[in-house]
Amino acid sequence: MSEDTLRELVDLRPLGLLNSAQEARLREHLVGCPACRARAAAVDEAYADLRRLAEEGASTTPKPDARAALLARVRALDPPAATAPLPDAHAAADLTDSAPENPEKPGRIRREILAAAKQAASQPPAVAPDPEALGVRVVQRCCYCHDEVGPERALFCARCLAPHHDECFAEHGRCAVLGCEESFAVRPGAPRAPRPPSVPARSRRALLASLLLAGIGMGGVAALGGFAALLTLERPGKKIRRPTPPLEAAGPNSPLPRAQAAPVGSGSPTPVRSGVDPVELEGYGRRWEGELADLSEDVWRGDARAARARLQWLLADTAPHRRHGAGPLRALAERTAREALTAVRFWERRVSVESVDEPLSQVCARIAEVVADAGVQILVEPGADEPVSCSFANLRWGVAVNLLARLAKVQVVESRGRVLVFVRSPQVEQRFQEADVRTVLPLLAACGGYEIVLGTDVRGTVSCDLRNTPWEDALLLVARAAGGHRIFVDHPGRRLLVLSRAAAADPPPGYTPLRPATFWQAPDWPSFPPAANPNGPSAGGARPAPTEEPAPTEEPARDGARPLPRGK
Amino acid sequence: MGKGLTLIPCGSLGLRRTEGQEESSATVPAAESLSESVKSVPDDARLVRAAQAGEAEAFGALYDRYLPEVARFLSGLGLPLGREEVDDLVQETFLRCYRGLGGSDAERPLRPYLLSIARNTALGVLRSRRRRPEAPDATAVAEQAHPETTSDRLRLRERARLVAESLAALEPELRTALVLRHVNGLTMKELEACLGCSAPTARARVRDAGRRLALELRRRGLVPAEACA
Repeated sequence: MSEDTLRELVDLRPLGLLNSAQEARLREHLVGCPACRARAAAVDEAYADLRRLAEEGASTTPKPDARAALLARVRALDPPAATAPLPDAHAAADLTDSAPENPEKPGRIRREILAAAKQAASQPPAVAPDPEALGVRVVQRCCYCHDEVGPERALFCARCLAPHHDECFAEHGRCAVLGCEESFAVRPGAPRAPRPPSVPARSRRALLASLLLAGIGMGGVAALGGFAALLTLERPGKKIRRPTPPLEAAGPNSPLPRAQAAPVGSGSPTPVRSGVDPVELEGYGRRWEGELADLSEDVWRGDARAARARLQWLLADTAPHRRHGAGPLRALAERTAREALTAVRFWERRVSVESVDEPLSQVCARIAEVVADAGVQILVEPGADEPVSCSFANLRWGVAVNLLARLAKVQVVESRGRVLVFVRSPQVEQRFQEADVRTVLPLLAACGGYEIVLGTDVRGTVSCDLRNTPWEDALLLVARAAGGHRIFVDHPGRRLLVLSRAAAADPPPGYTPLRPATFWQAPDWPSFPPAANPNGPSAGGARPAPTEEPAPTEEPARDGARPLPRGK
Repeated sequence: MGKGLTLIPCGSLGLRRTEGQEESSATVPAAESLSESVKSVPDDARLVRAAQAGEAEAFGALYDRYLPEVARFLSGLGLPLGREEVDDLVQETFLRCYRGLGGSDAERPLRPYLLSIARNTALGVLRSRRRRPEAPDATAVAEQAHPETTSDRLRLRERARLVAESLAALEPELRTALVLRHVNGLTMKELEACLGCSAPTARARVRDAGRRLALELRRRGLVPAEACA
């Protein structure tokens, strides 16, 4: 079970969302893992706090006279049964929810709903009381701001007709009713002019009858013509067979019905349908776009195995549309295949750099141009902008970034949103012999510019020889070597707290364990698709290479990247 | 099987729970609520019918029965409101429930219905205050509850503040789903009715809420970030 899975199981355990197998595996893991046990205890404690806060808040609510006040208001209202339930969707939902579905009689619920609606409709309509006579003022309120909505500013949701102010709807961008999410609204128009007198019913019936007779006559003629044609064309002993759809026409997950695909190798690819349903086109677009985004994320994380599987799926899913799809769908499929192939070659983009005593930021700007279209930014902190001299030719861009960092003796860290930053992280070069840990730790913390607080029971001596070690790693190493002490950092990240192992089980709130220094490293990315031997070391996984032919209008390989071999 | 029993699916009675879950203090659907739930259904139905007929005392009995539940939910949300305003929300919830009784089926469980009204009421407050968020006053609660020693009080106050902050950082929909599940102990079936969505959606919403809360707790240092070795 991976670390992320375990973490999630621990996080979700108090909500009762684990099944019995997950519970058993987690329990088994917690027995042997003190870190996860501590984490689970902390999560449990936080959830217990939540419940305690709710209980304590509820114990002070409400005031003693609230019940009497509520009942007085209830008595002032009409009895709720006076209003009959409406035969609308709400009544239908009520019936659907309360009556469990009987699989043997699938139509029973529908019959009950219709019966209830008929019964309600047969009752005489309730006469609405005049609000003015009752002394009641009826207003409609905006679902967003809950203020009164006048008729001149009222805007109604196009789906649920909930009233809004026009500016509230514009601000929220959609209907404010929970679960509606409609982004269109309607405004009540002026009352329509009275309709012109319609054709009398008797004339309408005569017109319909003549139309029906004409239709029957035309149908009969068409049927006779078709029968004559069959007699002419069909020869005895030879059946007319329809072409069978190809087996690989629709991918395993493709929603395209197989009957829509043309036969394999049938001359020019004939589009099955002349037009494409825009809803279907949008559905394909959304799905492929999502897959492309996931593929891009897999590539950025360096997960070659996942990227390979996703690429294979995308190529297979777009293949029938690239071959036989109608205009816009075909173009979309081709573009998706092209972008997928471009995405998996992201790490194969190459750069050539020549510089003599040029600032690191300028060299990085040239590399950043190569990957700018993938949303990657490369920044250099002022303290790390060293002059570098280098000569790279046709080198992978990630390798070039790491080499530049080594040349300039700085580090690269990854920030959120695909931002790579060259930083100068303080490094330690010290030698201690039987030194008191209470002296060594403040020295190391000062390297990183941190204040430090030592627990009273943090004691011990340490001997070490550190060379070019990041200060976080040095601190953690010394603390561990001197008796397994733990280091925590506060939330703003300005103060360190060192506690002994016993005291570390209960760290103060607001402090998190100090993490070792992690620097960015370009992944060892295989060429896509791999060479002939899919089980070779560069394959990045045991899955076979995609056998689909790439997009017919494939872009030329970029910056010396290997072109994808054509299909078999 | 009686009519009352058919309204309570197996999943809502905590029958799927495993041994380990009973050990934790934060249990959600308590197994002992089986008999209570089965018994409460006809009582609720009788009281609802009486309230529909205009008996205010019957509605008063429903109020007595479900007041702790509604108050626990509204308090558990950590709304940026004073005590008086929370009282008003409770009143508003029960008044809306009374007005809606006319069009509802007396045999349906009242608890999810009532909590869904409370949820809608609270969501209105949360949305209207979203643009000017205020930290919930969790510290006062902690002080009232634990006045023993100064250090205990400080520690509890800080912890309560951070937990309330973490909860307040969640989106209103996720926050209400989490409180309904954890504090009110609603089953997935009840959540489905209360949130007005399908059971998988309700489950996904609670899962998202759990993930987000864990993230917020980790950010505030209440849960250690380090993973197992």
